[in-house]
Amino acid sequence: MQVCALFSRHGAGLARRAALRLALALLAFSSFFVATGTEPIPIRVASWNMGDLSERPGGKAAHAWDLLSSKADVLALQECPTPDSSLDQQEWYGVYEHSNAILSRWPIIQSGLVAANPAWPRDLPWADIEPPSGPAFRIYSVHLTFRRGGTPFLAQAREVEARRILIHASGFDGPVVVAGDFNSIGWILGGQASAPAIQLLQLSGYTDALAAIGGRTHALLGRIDWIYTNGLHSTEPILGDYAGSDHRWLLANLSPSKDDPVQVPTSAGNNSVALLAVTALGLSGIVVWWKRRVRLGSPTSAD
Amino acid sequence: MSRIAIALVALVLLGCSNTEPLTPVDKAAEERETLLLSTVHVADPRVFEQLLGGFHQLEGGSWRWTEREFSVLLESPPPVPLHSSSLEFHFSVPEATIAALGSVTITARLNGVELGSETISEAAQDIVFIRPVPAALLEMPPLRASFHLDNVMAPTPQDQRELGIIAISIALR
Repeated sequence: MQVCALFSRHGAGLARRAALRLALALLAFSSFFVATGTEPIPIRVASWNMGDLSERPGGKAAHAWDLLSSKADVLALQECPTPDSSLDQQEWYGVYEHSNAILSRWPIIQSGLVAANPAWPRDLPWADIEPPSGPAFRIYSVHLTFRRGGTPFLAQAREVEARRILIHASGFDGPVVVAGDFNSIGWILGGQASAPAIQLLQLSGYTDALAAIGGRTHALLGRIDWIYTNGLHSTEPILGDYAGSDHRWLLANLSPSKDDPVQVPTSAGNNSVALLAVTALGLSGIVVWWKRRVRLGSPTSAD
Repeated sequence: MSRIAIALVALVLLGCSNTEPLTPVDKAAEERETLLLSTVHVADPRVFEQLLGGFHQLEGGSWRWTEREFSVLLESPPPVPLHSSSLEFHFSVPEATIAALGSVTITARLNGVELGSETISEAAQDIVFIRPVPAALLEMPPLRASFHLDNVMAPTPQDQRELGIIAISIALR
């Protein structure tokens, strides 16, 4: 009986340990699958204003096209050649309007055009795309008005166009990518991220997928091409070369955000840097003050 | 003096920022907003909801007869530097109308503010009626453009419609 009791106690201990090991193993096993099996693959999005390239295969544009089509799953193109051009656009799902296009390796569930400008033709394509994993997302291929009546100083008109795109996007319940040529120039050399259209995107919760690297996308006009996202976070952004166009191409890996997108106005980054600088200055001041106190032998240190 | 010059150059180079605060596009607030256009072609299916009244059915895929009173809803056009906005109405007056009525006077209003009149006494295609629009009017979109005709062709046994002029497009530019 005692042996039985001892055995049962011993057996219970063994069983508890075995159960604990099994539970740990299952936990590790399941966490492995949670970490790897269900993690959505990043969406590789590229944007490029091709500048009406009409190069023959073998030229810089063709190389860039090969590179982009091998590195990206979704392309937002502006001033791109018509689909029947020499560029191989087979094996892609596509939406094409005028010279703006969206090409996707994955099925396009729904697509259309948004009348970005109320006063003149500026119909821009959008597409809802279903990736192999993760939620469906919407992308817009943006090309905001550069010039009207001889003037390129149309910051407010471009803001109107950006606002209409964002209003259209607000009807979609999922991650959104707004990519393309925003022509975000200002007066003479100003503008860029401070252009009202870009500010509006940031204020509305969109983040710059290439914020980590920055850089100009147009030799004369600076940073006028952008990939902005809402509900997606960017990793490994790349700013490509011109490849025969007057614009550089952009590429970013986008993954669904675990939390709601953080609204980061442009000034926030500057504020963070300023705060860091002030903190560093303050700390160095304290260190210097402390060293002097020690060297001079203050009453406190003498104690 | 040189400091002032440097300051002015810096101002030009760095750019004049938009002093008016931007209002973000908030999902809840904007959900009910529709994307109206400031150019309404009467044949464009995207703007059929902006044809508020006074238009007959689409004919020839490009135009519509109007009644005595007709109106459209228009979005404000984006501001373009050194450009003042105007109301533009493209229309036609056929021979039959002039033969029956002698002349037609059209009067335009924008949000109730009269912009002017024009009398047509000869048949013509693609007449352009242009009137400047005070900038203050554009600050409260959408805008209702209303038109009144002093003469129209009365309904007949063959055509029960009241026929005014042939509308092609109405725009704020």
